[in-house]
Amino acid sequence: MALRRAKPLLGTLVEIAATSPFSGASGQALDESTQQAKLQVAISAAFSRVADISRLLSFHKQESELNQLNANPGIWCHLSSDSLRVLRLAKYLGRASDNLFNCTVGGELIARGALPSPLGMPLLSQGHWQDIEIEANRARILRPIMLTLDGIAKGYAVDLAVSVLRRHGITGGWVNAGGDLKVFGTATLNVICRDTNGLSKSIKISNSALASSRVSSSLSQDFPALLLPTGEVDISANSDNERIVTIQAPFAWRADALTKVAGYLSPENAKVKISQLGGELVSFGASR
Amino acid sequence: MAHSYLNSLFFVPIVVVAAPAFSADYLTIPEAQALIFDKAAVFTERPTLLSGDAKDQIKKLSGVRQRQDNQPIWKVEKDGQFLGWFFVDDVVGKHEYITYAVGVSPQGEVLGLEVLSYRETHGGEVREVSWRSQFHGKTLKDPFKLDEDVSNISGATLSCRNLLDGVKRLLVIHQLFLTQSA
Repeated sequence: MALRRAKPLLGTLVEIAATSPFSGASGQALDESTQQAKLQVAISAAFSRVADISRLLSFHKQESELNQLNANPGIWCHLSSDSLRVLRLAKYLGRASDNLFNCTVGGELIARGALPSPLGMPLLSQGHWQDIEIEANRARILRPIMLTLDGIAKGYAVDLAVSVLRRHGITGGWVNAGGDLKVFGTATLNVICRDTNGLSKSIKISNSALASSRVSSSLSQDFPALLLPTGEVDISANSDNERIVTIQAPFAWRADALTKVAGYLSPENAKVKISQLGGELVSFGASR
Repeated sequence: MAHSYLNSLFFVPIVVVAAPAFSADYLTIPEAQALIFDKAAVFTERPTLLSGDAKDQIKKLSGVRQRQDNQPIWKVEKDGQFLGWFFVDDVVGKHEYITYAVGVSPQGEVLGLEVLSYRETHGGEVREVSWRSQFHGKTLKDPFKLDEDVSNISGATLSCRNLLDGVKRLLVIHQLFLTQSA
């Protein structure tokens, strides 16, 4: 027995699917309604974890822990373990990728109108991973920058939802947050990745995560911008080669974040760099 | 503002679609009723026929057009106790309709929302930047402004924005037509 549900969360539709627990177990077979009830409880719990992350790390909620940090540069803020963990991951990836992954570009996004300006205080348009300090139960930003965790927190929420399902004894399923996808256990999913030219390819996914981003050098009010950090970058800003980058990795937070890194690199370099950083470049479609 | 836009790239997360169909039926109406309220609750259908005037009023208060003349609504009770209302509604997703269900308390609070079915013909792009408030506990007093609730974007995230607008429209229907008649 399998169950799928979808709710609007994290600014997208989040779909959670779970197959029946205790399948193949040698114990007493449960009747259908008991199984269904168990699945519902597990899926509800997973959705509620996703909602937690949204509440803690939303840029759009003034009372989120993320905005508490953003509003108090230089001041230590006590944070939940979820927030600390996402910050640690973001900082680690900033360091590992020489700032190609950069979660400190919120000021720039605000300046371009891609994000709302919640504070009305003077900001640096971007910083780097060294601007984030993390201790056991608190963190602070060293300069007036704006952290935005869009490039990683959605993936993290997907991973969390999966671990909630597992803890409830679910043997297989997937969580898909608008394209940040993780498939686990006995489940296999055929997914179609579309290219910018409309061509699609089908990939079979099991026990791993997948994320895709479209990378474009044209500015649009509708989409967030990420400035090129001062790292080793291959893609010239004037090359108008829109493409879709798809990354596979063991966990969704990593796949999510690595799409940003790959976007800055040529196909050859992206392949190498992404595998150094623990992911796999599945496709790097340029539109022609 | 003098600002160099050199050296910039823009990211739009896109959706990977589970094959073969770009659509999904998640829950039946009874399943959603049991989830949002209680399996043991009694659901009495009270379809509400909305006149042209009523539709104008809804549009004026919610900012969203009421397309349907007939809004499916159930009154929810358990052991003689009035629990609230259960709505089924359609909003346009990216190209096709999303059917969803919302539970509303007697006081006009959102108790839960479940997508019943989602159909998509062209796939879509979803933008990550838009973290959205959960619907849970929302009332008409909450800002339903895009900048605060959902960032204003195109792509498949449109579905979310339209869902949010839909919920607001249903809360207005509750306020106008269901608060006295309970």
